[in-house]
Amino acid sequence: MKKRVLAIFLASVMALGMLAGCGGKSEEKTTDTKEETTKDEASDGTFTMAIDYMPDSLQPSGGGSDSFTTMVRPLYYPLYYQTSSGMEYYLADKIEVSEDALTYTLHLNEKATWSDGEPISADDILFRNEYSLASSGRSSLATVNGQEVKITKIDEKTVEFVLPEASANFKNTLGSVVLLPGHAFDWDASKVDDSGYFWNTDMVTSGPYVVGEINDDSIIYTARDDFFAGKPSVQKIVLRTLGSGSSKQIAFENGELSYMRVTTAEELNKYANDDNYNVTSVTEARLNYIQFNPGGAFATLPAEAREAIMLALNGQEIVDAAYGTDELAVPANSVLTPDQLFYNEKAPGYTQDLEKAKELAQSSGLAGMTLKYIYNADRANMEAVATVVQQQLAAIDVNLEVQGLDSPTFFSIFFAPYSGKTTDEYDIGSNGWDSERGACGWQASTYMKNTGWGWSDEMAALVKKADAATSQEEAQKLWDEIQEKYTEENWLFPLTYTNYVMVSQENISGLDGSEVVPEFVDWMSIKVD
Amino acid sequence: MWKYCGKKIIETLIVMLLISFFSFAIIYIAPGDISSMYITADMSEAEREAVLEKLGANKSLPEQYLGWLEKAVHGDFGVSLSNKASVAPQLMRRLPTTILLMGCALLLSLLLAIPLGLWAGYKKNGIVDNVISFISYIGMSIPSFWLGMLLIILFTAKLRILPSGGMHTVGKESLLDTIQHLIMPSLTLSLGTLATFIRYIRTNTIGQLAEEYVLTAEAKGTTAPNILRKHVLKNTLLPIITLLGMNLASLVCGSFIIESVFGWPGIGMFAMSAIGQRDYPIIMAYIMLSGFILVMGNLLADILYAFADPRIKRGIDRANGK
Repeated sequence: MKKRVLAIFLASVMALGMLAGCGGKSEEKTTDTKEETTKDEASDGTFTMAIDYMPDSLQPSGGGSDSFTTMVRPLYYPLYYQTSSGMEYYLADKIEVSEDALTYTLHLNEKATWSDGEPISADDILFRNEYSLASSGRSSLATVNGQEVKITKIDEKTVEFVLPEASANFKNTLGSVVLLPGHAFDWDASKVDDSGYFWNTDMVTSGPYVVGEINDDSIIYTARDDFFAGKPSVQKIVLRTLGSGSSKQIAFENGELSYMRVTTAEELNKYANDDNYNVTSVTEARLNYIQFNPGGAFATLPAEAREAIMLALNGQEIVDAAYGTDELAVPANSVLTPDQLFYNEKAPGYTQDLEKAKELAQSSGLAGMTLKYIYNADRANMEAVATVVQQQLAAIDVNLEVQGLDSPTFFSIFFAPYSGKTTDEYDIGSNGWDSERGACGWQASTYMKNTGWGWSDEMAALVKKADAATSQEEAQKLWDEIQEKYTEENWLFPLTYTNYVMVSQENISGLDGSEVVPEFVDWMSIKVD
Repeated sequence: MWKYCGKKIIETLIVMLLISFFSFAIIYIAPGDISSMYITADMSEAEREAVLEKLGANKSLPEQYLGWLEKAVHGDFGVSLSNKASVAPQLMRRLPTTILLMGCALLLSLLLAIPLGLWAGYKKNGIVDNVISFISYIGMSIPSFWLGMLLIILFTAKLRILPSGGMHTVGKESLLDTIQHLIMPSLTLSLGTLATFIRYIRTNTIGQLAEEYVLTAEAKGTTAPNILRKHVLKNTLLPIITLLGMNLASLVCGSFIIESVFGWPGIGMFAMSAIGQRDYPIIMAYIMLSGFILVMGNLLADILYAFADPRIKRGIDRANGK
């Protein structure tokens, strides 16, 4: 009897605990506390961001992850960005390209200075190039397609780059370069790495903020008074480690964070319907796509097998099921994204035709087969996409064995064909490429001129021609042709164009000052009321 | 005794060497490497080779391992491939943070496990024993990340009395503030260890209570609390020495999961991001540190055991012909 009473008591305690932990919402309370915090933030203009980990250096050339790029953006400005709505100038104020598209003349803003008052000069650009060569053996400014670029300092604020051949991407590469303060290293590039310079509050910066404090679990940036573009509205940026996933969401609702990214329709609806939060959406300029591996099962299957899969897929259904709303992603129709000048919204893409897909699957011998599908498990929504694709292909009697991989593993397996290696570790993979914005199709051209992915020699030649086109008209004509013809080869299925959606506390605005992601490039537009 | 210690130390060195080799081999064989962060699609073959050369990623496994080992024995664990800063200071900077969290969790486990284990053993098969045993089983079974999330939802989202994560409130680095941040991760971490300790102490207490010296004490009229405290306690704590030795590694190397859930800026979180980037100098330093502490913990436990229990020391001496 005693044992039974004890068992009932313990079961009740557990059930109550579960209810307390997982139970319903207490929205009233959320609002109260959040308003309190919001008022605090408004009073001192503080903007709080979550970071995934505490870095050990804020060296802008280090890292490589989006998370790290976000951390150093307020400290180090790029030269400029080319976007779909025009040029955004930061440290530079002019970039001129010669008619033959071989000479690029860059001019730095006359007023731009480092945070210690030293002018940002042409020497800093040369220093950055030297540093890249000394540190990694390679500089994106020094070569184009493996050939040397001639870099000449014209005056203190002007540098000229003469390319060995026209390359539409060079303008973007140059614009996103982040300068290092050469004078802080006596102009000796070998002194930069492992110097410890970028992990103290005296480090010199080129952006609107300097490092104010470095703590065990947070870093504080303070606004520069002498920044050439003015003083930012956000006086203080706090970067805090706050755990991942749900912990971050609770911290945001608790008012501990100024904003966070949302990747599901459920999250988006929750905050969009609440007046206490603002929703900001910017296009990611990202194309998510499905790629067939020429070395896997498709090495022996006829081309009709690939076509069968293309015709079995339904882009809108994938968006509806995996993203839940067009605000997070829309179906893609081209190898370019709408943020690129040469994008053609009338490009045909693929249209689902289940009957024809079934016929082709039968005739090609694809029906009844099991294919290996890999995706990057670190990327948002990719698992859900894989599940929908699996269901859609089941309709033509194709079974998918789905496997999620972490980024390094995924990239080494997925890109094996790109490096000229034959692999049968997967048959189908889904990935995304972040396209540049403006008058450039470099990411797409890089993939499509590589016949390792299965593209024909004719397609590779066409893409190379478009990449080296010297006039905008010529480039547009060639890209139109590519966007028309790529579907005939059946190697790549454009899945989605994604948006980068953020929710912020109601006193935060201007997060979309620049549409470039990772966030935020234009700190001058962000306001804390 | 000295001969015994010397033998154990030599064994430790061999184990360390094996740990280092196998860890290095596993990282080498694992798909993906740091070069993916530096190699871009438009690079020529010569440029790719230059990058691999700079990173040392084009050398064979024995070449890379021996190069690493040579430096490691001199205390140089190299430079991180991702942030280009020396590895050792990066680990050392996080060490106190991790020790603080893990130390608090271990202390909490011990402080609660000793009285609860003794009590459960003393009240064998009674209500108290059943309740404590039930809680122990729950503690051993609950996944720590789930419990962590549950605590965050309860104490941060619902009750709003504790911070959701991190180590300090920005601009308010007082002792009280740190304690507030420590409560949830310490509780989460300690529950599993607490449950294990309770079970060990309970079993030992039951065994010791059946010994004749307890009967003697009872015959002398010693009260039950005094028997437990003065006689039984010391003997029940012997296996805890071994458990503590084995826990020493986690004390220093932290917990991947708990540090990630609570955003605790310790060594576990640091190693987690290094693994994600295949930053092998950091991963190797982390593995060596945890391996070293684990082996040293066991060595220390063996030696302490011999000191704590004279029967074992006599056994060792006898085996050495003394």
